[in-house]
Amino acid sequence: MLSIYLSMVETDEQRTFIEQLYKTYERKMYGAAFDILHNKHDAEDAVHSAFVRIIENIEKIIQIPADKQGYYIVIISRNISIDICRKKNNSEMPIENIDEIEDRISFDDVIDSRLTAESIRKCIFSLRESDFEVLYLNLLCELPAADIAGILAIKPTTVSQRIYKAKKRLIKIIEEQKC
Amino acid sequence: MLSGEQLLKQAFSEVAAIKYGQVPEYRHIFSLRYRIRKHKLLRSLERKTAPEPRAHTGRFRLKYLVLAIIMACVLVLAGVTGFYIVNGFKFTTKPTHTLVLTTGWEDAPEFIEQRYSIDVPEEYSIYREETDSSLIYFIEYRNNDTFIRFEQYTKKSFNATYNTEGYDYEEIDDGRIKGFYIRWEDYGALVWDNGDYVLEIKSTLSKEETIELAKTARIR
Repeated sequence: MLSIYLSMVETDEQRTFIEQLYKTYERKMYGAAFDILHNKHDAEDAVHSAFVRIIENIEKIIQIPADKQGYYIVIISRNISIDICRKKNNSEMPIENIDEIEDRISFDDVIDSRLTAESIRKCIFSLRESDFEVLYLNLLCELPAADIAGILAIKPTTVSQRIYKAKKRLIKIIEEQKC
Repeated sequence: MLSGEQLLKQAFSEVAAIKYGQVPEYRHIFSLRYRIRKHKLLRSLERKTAPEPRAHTGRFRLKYLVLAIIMACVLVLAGVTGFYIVNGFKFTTKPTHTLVLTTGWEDAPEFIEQRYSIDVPEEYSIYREETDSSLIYFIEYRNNDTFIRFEQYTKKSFNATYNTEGYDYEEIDDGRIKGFYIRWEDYGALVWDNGDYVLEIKSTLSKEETIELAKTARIR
């Protein structure tokens, strides 16, 4: 199984990149995992699985600007930890079988001069964590649904749906803030 | 003037930085199992990215072989370097130092799967304990100006250099401890191969005391 992932690491540049990620983010990833799992061994498993997934998606991750990599990698670690937690509790992910959503939502019409930078931040802080993460990957890291699906190991259609719903929820929060 | 989308991105970036700062960084020592898996993962990457050997023609190969033999003969005859094998260790002598490697590590563990310890005298206390990777482990004990440092290496990773300018090493084989001992002015080093790992004691103790200490080595 591992060899399949590793076959995607083709260059010295990519290997050095992985080593650098270990040095920089390993403890942060462990912290994120431990906060969810509350178990050292499971948290270490999550960090290891996160690195395997990073290698699996190396072509995409290497494109992410350095200043956005930290939280991006924490998202991977957190999501894997949540999966481990779900498996341990034998709880299934809800099956979402919804057709691809055509996402035409633009925030240019929603965010106007009535909103300050502080009030926008406040709205973002009000988002639930899963909404924040998917919007972070989509809006800030500019990843399409298919790439996010690879990172979070879920269906692209599910990602599209999550992005759409998260945007809707954010717009609702912003509109409420304006009032 | 920033657009609504740009303002949102800026705010997302700032919130992400705050959230990232809130993720704790525990002073966690990763387990041996984790480190072995990490090491295997990184080593696999090395293998994958290692450059392909260049294809040489027979004539090129012969040329380099002849050149290597001539150089080796010249160096050995000049007394600059040479190597020999004692108690499973390969010694390559240089004018000022000696490189020591193990031979025959194929059946030995690739990683430190079981740690060894020694029974140090009561007056010594642990000064520091470290492991660089799953390949090397050491623990150092101190008592005033004296010390005992116990090291454990996988046989494959053992690669040591000793100052042999004015000093020499002697073969040790008393039935239980099979290796070599070298003494400098202030301290000495006893290195032996226990079949699975290379163990080493560097200490201010005498050679005899160090050998007795080596005999107490056992799995923790």
